[in-house]
Amino acid sequence: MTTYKAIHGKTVQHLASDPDDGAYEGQLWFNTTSSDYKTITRVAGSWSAGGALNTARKELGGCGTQTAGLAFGGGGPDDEVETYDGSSWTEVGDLNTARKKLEGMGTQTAAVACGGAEDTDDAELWDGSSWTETGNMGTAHYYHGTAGTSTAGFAFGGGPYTVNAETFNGSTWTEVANLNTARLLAGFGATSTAAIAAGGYISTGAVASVESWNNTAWTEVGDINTARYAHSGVGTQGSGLIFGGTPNVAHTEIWDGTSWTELANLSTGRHASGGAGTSKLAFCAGGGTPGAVTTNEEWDFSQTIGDGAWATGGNTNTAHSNRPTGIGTQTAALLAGGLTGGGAPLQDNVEEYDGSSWTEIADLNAARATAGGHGTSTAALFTGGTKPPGSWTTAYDDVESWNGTSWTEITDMNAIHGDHGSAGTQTSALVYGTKSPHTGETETWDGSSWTEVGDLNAVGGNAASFGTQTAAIAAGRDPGGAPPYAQKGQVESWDGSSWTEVADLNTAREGMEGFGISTNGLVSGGYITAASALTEEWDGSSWTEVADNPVSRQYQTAAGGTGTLGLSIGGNAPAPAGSEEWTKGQNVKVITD
Amino acid sequence: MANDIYNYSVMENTGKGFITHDDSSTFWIRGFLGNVWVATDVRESRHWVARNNGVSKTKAEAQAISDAVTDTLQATWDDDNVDGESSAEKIIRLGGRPVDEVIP
Repeated sequence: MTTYKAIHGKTVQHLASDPDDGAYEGQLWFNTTSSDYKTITRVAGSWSAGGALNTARKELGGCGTQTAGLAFGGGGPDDEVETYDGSSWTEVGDLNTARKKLEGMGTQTAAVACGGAEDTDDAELWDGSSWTETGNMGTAHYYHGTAGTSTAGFAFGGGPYTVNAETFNGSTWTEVANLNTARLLAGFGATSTAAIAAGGYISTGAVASVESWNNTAWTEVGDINTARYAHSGVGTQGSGLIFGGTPNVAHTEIWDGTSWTELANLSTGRHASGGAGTSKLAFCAGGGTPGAVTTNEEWDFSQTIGDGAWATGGNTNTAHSNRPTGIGTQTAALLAGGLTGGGAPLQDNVEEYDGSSWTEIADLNAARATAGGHGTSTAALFTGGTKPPGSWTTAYDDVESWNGTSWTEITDMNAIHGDHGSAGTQTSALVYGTKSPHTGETETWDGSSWTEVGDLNAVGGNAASFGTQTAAIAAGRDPGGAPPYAQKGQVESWDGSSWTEVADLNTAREGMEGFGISTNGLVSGGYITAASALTEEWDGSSWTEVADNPVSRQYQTAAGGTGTLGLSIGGNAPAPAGSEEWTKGQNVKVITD
Repeated sequence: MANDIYNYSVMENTGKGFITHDDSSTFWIRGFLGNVWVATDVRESRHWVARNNGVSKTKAEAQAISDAVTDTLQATWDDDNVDGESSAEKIIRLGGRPVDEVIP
């Protein structure tokens, strides 16, 4: 008789608690506490029916969580307010001013409702039992974005086509820097200092553009996949969710801090619903289909796997050693340049990765190593590096742009940069430091010209680099000379205007590479006394050692959108033609028999 | 790690699927020169070696295979010189001299 062990190579384990480990995906265990057989399966997120509102309406506001939610206003307009406990809605104290197209922020017991149609600047505070008038907004808003809490809130954009943004301290509103584009939009963010404005409507129709707020300025970031307006947005600047929209859109998209990915649709497409929660657990209450409805849907994208792990990725067609350049994501990456081995000539070879195999594509115009990489596999910028006819240790200032088909030389940088830090996109890039000569010079690219900005505190190249033009990390530095190098454990953080020293790496080294964003990154490999397998994770404030790469790498490159999904590629011996994939926090769920 | 027992094998890293996330989450793996692979000796790692058509080796055999490749790389590095180049410049040009690796 076939047994579970014969099929899977494992016996059914008896465990007191459910494992938090990706290795258990697809495996069966017996939970001795609950007396259940369980397994973990990969899920893509899903919507399910939740408790219905008591009053059908659209254009309402929402805040709180999936199990402690608040829905207010909307409708004709209405002053109705309801609370949600995860299963049913209960009518509670009415708003003082009935209105629709309003928004809010906070919790079920401490919230603010602000703005709304028609063109109101009114704001009210909720204390869990009643609403109290508070300071009016500086500018009227409706179909606007909100973020933060009832005592540190943020409202931005919306009708009537305003770029205005303002913060709220619990009693008064203060104007801050304007959005780049006036529009009706959906916004989200956990704090008033870090928010996202996604999609919306301008006078000519729905738009897909997205802007990110860093407490100083708005920056254009990756577009949503489906342009829409009158949709809902929930979550944080690094992990958000949008759903619904006009005309009765069912699409759901998740934001990982860099790009948007389509996930499971709402069961019923709708617009102007009241949404709240997180990118993992949210609700979508009411809205129009097109008529006002009471139905409510609950979003579940909860994660149970914590630890990250490496797996081998596809082997490259050509070896890329000595600091090739990688950009993109784990499933859509570019790899260019480097050498084919120690002492070999520089190469112009470029390969593209689709998540399983590498394909050779159009060569660079100039062979080079140690170049900086910015952008995606279809819209990239390769900056500086080293190239003939000079020594491969001599840096250059030239730049090539990739449009998905061919490379074009564009405006040179102001200074030469080789083996430097690089972050950002094809039209919003950051380069910093250089190994030859050893400088800390930093430049920004706006799509048409380079501008010198604040230097790194510690000069040198060979830093592991990742992030955006306005929020980047430089980990480790080689100030020159033969090893052992100083400063190779130092880390600096860029906030868009200056570099600040932050927590050192646990293990100082050079020639490593990283991927991610300024609050969620990963650094692996590098040269210590030989090629290293060490991997460290950055959470925005400190480094934590995580699982080693089975393949030690040095002077390699990397690609990845966030610190949870990435690639380590090439480099010097022992495996210049290999790659490994780092995966953490895959969306899986424990299922009980 | 110090008290772990390992198995040793020679097999080509064929890329995608050679080591899966399940593999690296379940047992420790490390590659060395000469396509030598060392893993904690558990049932799952023996299945991994079999799945990839690996050839089992003793620790001494694995060390010898890795040493032979290291010796070749070191000789190549030693013989690759440019007139007037300092040792520091050579390291910048070629990277550090390949080091002897001790297999656990």
